[in-house]
Amino acid sequence: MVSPIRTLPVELLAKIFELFIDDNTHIRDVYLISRVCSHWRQIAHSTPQLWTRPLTVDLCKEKDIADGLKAWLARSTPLPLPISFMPVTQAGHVNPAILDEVLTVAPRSSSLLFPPMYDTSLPLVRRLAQRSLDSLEEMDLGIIDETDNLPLAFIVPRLRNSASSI
Amino acid sequence: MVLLVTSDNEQFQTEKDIVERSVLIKNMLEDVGESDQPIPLPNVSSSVLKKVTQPSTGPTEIDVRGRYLSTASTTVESPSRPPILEQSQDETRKRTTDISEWDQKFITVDQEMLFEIILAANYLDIKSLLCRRWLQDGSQHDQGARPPEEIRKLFNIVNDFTPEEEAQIKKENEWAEDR
Repeated sequence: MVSPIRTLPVELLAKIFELFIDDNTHIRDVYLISRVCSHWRQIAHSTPQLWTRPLTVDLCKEKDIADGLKAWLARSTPLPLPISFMPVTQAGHVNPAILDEVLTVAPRSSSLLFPPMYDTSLPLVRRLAQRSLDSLEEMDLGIIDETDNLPLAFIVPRLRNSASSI
Repeated sequence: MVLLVTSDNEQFQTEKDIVERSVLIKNMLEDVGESDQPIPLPNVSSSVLKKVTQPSTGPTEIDVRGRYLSTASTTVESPSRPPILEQSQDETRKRTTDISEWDQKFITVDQEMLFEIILAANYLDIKSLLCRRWLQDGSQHDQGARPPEEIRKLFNIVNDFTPEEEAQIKKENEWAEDR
């Protein structure tokens, strides 16, 4: 006998999943849905809206999370993605594999937010500035407390809000 | 009052402010204007519409087993209000920490009826029925999500992942384990 839940249209299940996901627990919630069965997993993987809640990235994490992060970011394609960061005070502490994934998705980011009360590494900011941030609407660079006397410019055609302390 | 006609040709006289919780019906009424003409609901049976407009003691939603959930902390203003149409769309995304008890008096329906109600809610565009509580554990005070095993059991879903896929999924989730 087919489970009654299989009678629900895929679009409706996707809508229910979207409403089920909470911004505060969205990673856990999406993975929960995708672990139930292959049918639910397929729906989850083909519904980018489920993977575009605000994402906080720790660029300094030593643990190898780049592959998992890459898979997550890929599933959110092609939608804009809000990203915030844990404090990054020294560029030397940044995990290059994680940074590569963030830089790859940067053109699709709707927000890039560094903690406003913390120092942010200038070289890291420069790496971001090299990307074409076409979807970026909000940016907070935190406190940039160093200088190399070179101009810092961003291409941000959709930017609405920005903040930084230099 | 608004006259609704279900797919099995039953007629329901319902208060306008109640039926307008359905975006579909609200739009219909706005398009038609003041009229005595009945509104046909070809995708909703009378048994389902009865559930949707059933009187209750307060703002409620249907849980995954088809029982109505009660928000015990909410003041009841109109005992005659139907359970499903009561909540605003803005509330559907809220976390559900305000639910403090199960009301044993609420109606239990089987899963087929539950999913018929969900289909009707989708057709009528009543988002409050499709909220996160649907997959939550109503017995837990903090309203945490059910584990996958429990969801499978509840909905009679077979775990069709191979051991290799299970291992892959576990590995895939590792990056976010401390979140």
